[in-house]
Amino acid sequence: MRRFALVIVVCCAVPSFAATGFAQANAPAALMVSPAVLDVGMFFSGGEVAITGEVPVSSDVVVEIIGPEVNSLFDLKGRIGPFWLTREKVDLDNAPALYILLLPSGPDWEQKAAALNLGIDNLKQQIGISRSVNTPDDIFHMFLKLKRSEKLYDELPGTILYSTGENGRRRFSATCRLPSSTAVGNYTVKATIITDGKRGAELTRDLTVQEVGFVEMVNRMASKSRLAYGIAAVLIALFSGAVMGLLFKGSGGH
Amino acid sequence: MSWYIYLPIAQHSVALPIMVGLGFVVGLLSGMFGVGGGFLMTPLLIMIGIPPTVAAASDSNQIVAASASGMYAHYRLGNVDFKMGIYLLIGGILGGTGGVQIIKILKAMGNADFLIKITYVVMLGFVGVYMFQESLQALRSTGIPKAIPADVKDSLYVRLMRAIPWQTRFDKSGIVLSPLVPLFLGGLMGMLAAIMGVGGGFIMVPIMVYLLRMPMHVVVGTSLFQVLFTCIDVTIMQAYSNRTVDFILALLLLIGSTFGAQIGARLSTRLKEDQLKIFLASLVLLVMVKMLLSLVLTPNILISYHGGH
Repeated sequence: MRRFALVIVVCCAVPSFAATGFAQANAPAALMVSPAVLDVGMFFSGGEVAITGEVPVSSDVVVEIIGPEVNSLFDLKGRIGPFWLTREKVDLDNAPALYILLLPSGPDWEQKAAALNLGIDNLKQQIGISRSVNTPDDIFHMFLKLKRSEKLYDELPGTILYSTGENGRRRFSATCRLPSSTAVGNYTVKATIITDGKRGAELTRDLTVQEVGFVEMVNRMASKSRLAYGIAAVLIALFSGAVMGLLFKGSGGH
Repeated sequence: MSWYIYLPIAQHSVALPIMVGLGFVVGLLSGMFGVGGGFLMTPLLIMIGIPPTVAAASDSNQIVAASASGMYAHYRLGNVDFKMGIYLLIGGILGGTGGVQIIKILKAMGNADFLIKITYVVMLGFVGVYMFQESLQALRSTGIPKAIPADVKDSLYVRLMRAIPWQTRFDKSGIVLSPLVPLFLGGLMGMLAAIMGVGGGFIMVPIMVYLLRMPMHVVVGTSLFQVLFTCIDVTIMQAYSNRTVDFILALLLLIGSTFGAQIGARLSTRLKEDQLKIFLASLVLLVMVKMLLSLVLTPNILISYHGGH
């Protein structure tokens, strides 16, 4: 009787442990962004952002870093005589200031992401273009070229690395360097879980890029107290000129 | 320690050694040839990716620092014709203010960068060709400089100058001239200072010597007086109207250019002047051609942020 009871306990316990492990392995994913606030200070030359998290063991993940809309008006150049001049202005609405797509390793992840409406080309659906009769058809690609040249739009295959997490889940990590021209504002880091080739749950975290210290003070003064800033710039120049003049005994230079 | 520094107004991260080095190279040339480096500084800044409007405005700010000590030294030596300088300055402030407004209007239209570049192409082309020809002639000549004709009383130019009303005596310079002439010339320099970010000494000095017939010792001090105050006006106006003055950038350039100018001045005594002038003229023409090509060749990217970054 006691042996029978033991068998029943074992028979119940094994599946229950297995079920618990299976449930944990398929539990909702986690996402962390470090740092959550990126400071643009005096010696800022771009910033590295680490993104980590866990997904169910049978899933993959794709991460997007999406910037705020900061400038939607663009000058479009055209030939006037021998010169290239601004001929018209083009308004691009809902265009993020920055868009970086981080992908796992694998030869066809760019195509897979595009098929799932992820990636730079997919932005065409969300960006509204105010056209005139002279606006060329490939204005969107010109816009992408500009953004890519500034490294503000990019797709980075192979940046998401996997390892075994706790409880059999799949841990992912990625690092991404934001360029020095990254505008201040609130960014979104979005992780999309891909299971069996389909988009699953999405997790988002905020990432703030902010000017701090001296840079913030200079920009605030230059924007809000323009006259005072101009006078301060002159006084600093005069003082620096005097110091240099003293250093080199008045042989300053223009 | 980071080798990069973030320029708050240009919103651009730059390598410290490159910026100080750029200032040093321009200062070196300035010291070697005795010319202000403004006309080379702005185009070089544009070439390394600083927005043209910020490059020009910040260079004006740098010139304030660079010309201040020189002007003070000349003032102490009594080499400044204040009467002439004041007329030049009034013209400079009017021209500079007008130039800043032109930049503002063109910035709104999206063509401020074009105006800055095309003005540079014209000015660098003119200065480069003139310097090249002059140096080449000096190299080919026997070494005996041609005397400037002293008697120019009957020339059309002199008659024209005398026909302008309100002839006034400028005691310090020992000349009689209508104040309208320095007002006009100052206005022209002020406009160039606003558009190009230059002091204008490289144009003003020959004009004062050859057209206004001012004595050389007064020319440099008076030119520096006009350059200093015109650039003070342009800096304040650019900061107020266009928000394009990056004083961090100006300071970095100043540090490099001051050291460069000292070494350049020492080097100039050991090197052959005419060969150096041909080298400088070639450099000026090279920068001009590079800027001209950027205006006529099909750009790689046909759109840009409205009004710069």
